[in-house]
Amino acid sequence: MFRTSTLRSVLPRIKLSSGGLYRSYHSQDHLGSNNIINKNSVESRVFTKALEFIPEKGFTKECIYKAVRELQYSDSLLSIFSNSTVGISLEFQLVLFWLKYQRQRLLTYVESNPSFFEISGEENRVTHLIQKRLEFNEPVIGKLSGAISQLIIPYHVDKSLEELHNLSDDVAFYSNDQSNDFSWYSKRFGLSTIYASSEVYMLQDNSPKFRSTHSFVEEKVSNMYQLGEAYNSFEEWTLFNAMSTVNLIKSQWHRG
Amino acid sequence: MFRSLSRQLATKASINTPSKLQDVVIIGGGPAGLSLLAALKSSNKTKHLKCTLVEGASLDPIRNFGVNPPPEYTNRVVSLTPKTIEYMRDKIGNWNFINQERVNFYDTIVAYDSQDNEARIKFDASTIGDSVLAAMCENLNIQSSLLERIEELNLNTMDPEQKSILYDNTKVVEITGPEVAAEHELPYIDPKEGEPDLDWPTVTLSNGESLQARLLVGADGFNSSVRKFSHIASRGWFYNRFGVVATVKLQYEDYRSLAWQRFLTTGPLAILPLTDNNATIVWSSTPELSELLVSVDDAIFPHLVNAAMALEETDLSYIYSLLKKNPSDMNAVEEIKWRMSRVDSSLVDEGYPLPLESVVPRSRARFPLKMAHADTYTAPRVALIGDAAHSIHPLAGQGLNMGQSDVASLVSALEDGVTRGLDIGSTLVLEQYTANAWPSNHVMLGICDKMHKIFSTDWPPIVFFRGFGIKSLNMLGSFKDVIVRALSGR
Repeated sequence: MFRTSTLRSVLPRIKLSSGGLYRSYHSQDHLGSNNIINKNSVESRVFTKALEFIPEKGFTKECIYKAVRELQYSDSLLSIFSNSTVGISLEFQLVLFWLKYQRQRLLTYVESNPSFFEISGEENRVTHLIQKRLEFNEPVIGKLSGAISQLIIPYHVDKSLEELHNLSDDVAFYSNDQSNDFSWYSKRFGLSTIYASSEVYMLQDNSPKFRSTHSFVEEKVSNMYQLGEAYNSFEEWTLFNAMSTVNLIKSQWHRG
Repeated sequence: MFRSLSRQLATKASINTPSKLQDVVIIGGGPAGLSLLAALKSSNKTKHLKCTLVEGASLDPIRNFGVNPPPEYTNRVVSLTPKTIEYMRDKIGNWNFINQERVNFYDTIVAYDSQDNEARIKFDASTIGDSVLAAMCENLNIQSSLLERIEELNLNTMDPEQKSILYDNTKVVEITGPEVAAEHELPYIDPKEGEPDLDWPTVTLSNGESLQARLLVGADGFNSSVRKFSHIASRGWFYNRFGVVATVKLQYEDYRSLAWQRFLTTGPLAILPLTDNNATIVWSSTPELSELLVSVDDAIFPHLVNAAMALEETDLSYIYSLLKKNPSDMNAVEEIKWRMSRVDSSLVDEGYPLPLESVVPRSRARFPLKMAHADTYTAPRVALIGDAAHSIHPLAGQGLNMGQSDVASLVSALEDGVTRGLDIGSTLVLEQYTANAWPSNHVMLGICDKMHKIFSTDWPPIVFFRGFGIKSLNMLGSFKDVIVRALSGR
């Protein structure tokens, strides 16, 4: 929650050069808590190191063991992780950390690429970000199914959904989503669906540079926005006609 | 203490510049506003009313048009239905002042679908025993004739009080209503002045004057200040389309007096005949395309219109993409010529409009298209007419005619009010106007909106059904006559 308000304060500065993107509300509070992961904690140092071994060993404990050794910590450090209050397995901790780490990368990407804000149209920015996030999957694509099977274990579902929602919230926010009604929810729900299905699609994708995954994302996002537009037009039209009926009756009222 | 001081100052200020009392104050000097003024002054029942018209811009271009009309047609051209012309001739009396050399009557419209060239429909006024379907006329021509009519009426009026007053270059600074008294409370009567406070709205003008109106009429367009003052909501939507207008020259004069309209998925494109080889076009298109249409070279634009009247949409989008890269790309003209040479030659003479030769320089302009309708046209001491009350898609050329029928209904409601000795600003009089004008305008808005929606898609099932509908409609003579009557306002 704090994180979101922090982003609101950081992003407007980047977009100053970009014109067009104006956010009507932001908070100046909690500037310092901008990081999704705290790079200085022992835990994140170990996990960050462990990420390097994923392409080789997959999302397994081995990565963490190896990281602890490489960083020359004592082996007893492992007991801190496995007995952590979170109460979840080492593998799943690694998966969650990996997801958070990629979200941090996405934020860094947005912050350090002013050209991103020059992409016109919310729809195109959303597509670009989802494609970018999927690109981060490429080095570990062979092992990704292991992570996904961790995420869909029933007693992990709440945590994985939270992470998924955070991702779609980030994507919507960086793309300058301005909705403040129920579409705020439906947009994020839609983005989560698109991201999850694209990731599964990517697992099966053999095209060079994952081109079919990219076009898959484009199609899904454009479908979502078209559906949104169709719904809004329908709502507008229905309301107009409801009001017009009242107005028509009113206009004839005094004739008696 | 401060309060009492400021009250004194306020009282003094209001004594220094007393509001001028007027029976009717019309805001806006467009065709609707001027028509209302001329119509009120032409009617025996309402000509005694003290009327003032306020226009923000200068009326000089309109006056100039009457004295010294420009050689080329201006780009704001409207279609007048026989009913409107009849009203102008018999009731307002400005038709005599119209520059007839710049009015063109036509009797037939041919409309066809870009997705299916066989799907065409022909509306011919002669089938209902009429020689005229509509007349094309410049906005300035109408305004200038109305102004001359008003000046003529002023000359014929002996009583200086009854002469109508026109303020141009004068903006409305503020409109203020009466102090709203609590419900069931009697209006406050000042014992010294012995007169109740008037509940008339006060209009403060940029020239320092203020007018207090028995009836305030808003003829001030889409962003009507009168409508905002009276808190009447206006509902509707923008189409995300722009209308591009231009004055063009055909290769030679078309003696058939035909108007053409082709429904492209980006919006309808109409070529409407003017006198000699002049014509005016109205091209509804997407925002990007309209920018392109306004920016391409004068040498290319006529070819582009010719192409859009005949070629397939795939050809067109290719040509647009060429021009988007370079708006003065003459290769596009070659592309168009080559593609046009492959169009079925049996259709070229009869099935498509005459090719364009050139476009009048600097005559192209674009404006956003929208649909809007006010909840009601009247409030106590307020009436809305013309675009202040409704905005419509231009595909059927009904905008100005709806404004004219507003004027007709409002004038007849006011005549009734005067005959019965009622206060013309009271809702009792005004509601008659809403009751007559609102439903028919609503129907017209709805039809044009649906036409736009049906033709702006290339989704095959809808294309099939509209093609089927058009073809069968074209064969049903009697049903077509109903539409022709509606189009010509009869």
